[in-house]
Amino acid sequence: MRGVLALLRGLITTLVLHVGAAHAVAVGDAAPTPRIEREDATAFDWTALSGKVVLVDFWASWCGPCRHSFPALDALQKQHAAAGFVVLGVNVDEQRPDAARFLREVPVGFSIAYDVGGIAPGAFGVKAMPSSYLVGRDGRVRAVHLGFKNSDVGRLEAEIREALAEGAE
Amino acid sequence: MKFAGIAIALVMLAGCATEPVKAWQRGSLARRDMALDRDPLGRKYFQHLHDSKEAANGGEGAGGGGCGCN
Repeated sequence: MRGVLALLRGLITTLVLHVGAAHAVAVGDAAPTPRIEREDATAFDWTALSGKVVLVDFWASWCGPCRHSFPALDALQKQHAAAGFVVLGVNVDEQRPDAARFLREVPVGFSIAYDVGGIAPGAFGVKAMPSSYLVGRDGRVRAVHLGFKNSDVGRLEAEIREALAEGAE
Repeated sequence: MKFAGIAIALVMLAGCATEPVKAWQRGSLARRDMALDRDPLGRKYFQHLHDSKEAANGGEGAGGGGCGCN
């Protein structure tokens, strides 16, 4: 009987943990800093981004809208880099060569990091591809964008300007 | 013996707990050779011919492609 109870408890714990894992990052939450890798498989250093306004963008080679978002994000980073704006593209491809091919086709200047086994999109609770999270200088999420349309760029840029202005004083 | 049976049944229950495919796990599903319909334009064309020969249309297939986008 005791064994069955322990088993039940284990099952319930697992269930609760699963529910917890499904929690998606929302505006106002502290942005998670899960393990992601650089191209050379070393861990990406999140602390290097502290104090900056960061757009964490989850993308994949098979994601159609990502192809359109990349040039726009690249332009935004070029335009606002001096003020402390950084784009971090987190790739979620299962096959690394797919990502490399995509980057040859759509070359960008911003930082690219790679997810390992779904940890990073799981930590952010990514609901759509692409998903981007605008993180303020205080490390809190200021905006969440699901998917990408060219018409989103104006709003995104306004949010970036606002975030940059807020921490500048 | 009875408890062992219950324990095994409980463990196997976990098999029913299928999680839906996450947004970032659709790489393999997005491959062209995984599509149910590899030639949507051609299919529409033939459907159009079929409709005109039948003098009736509609009722073919089901709405939504399982992409979670509608």
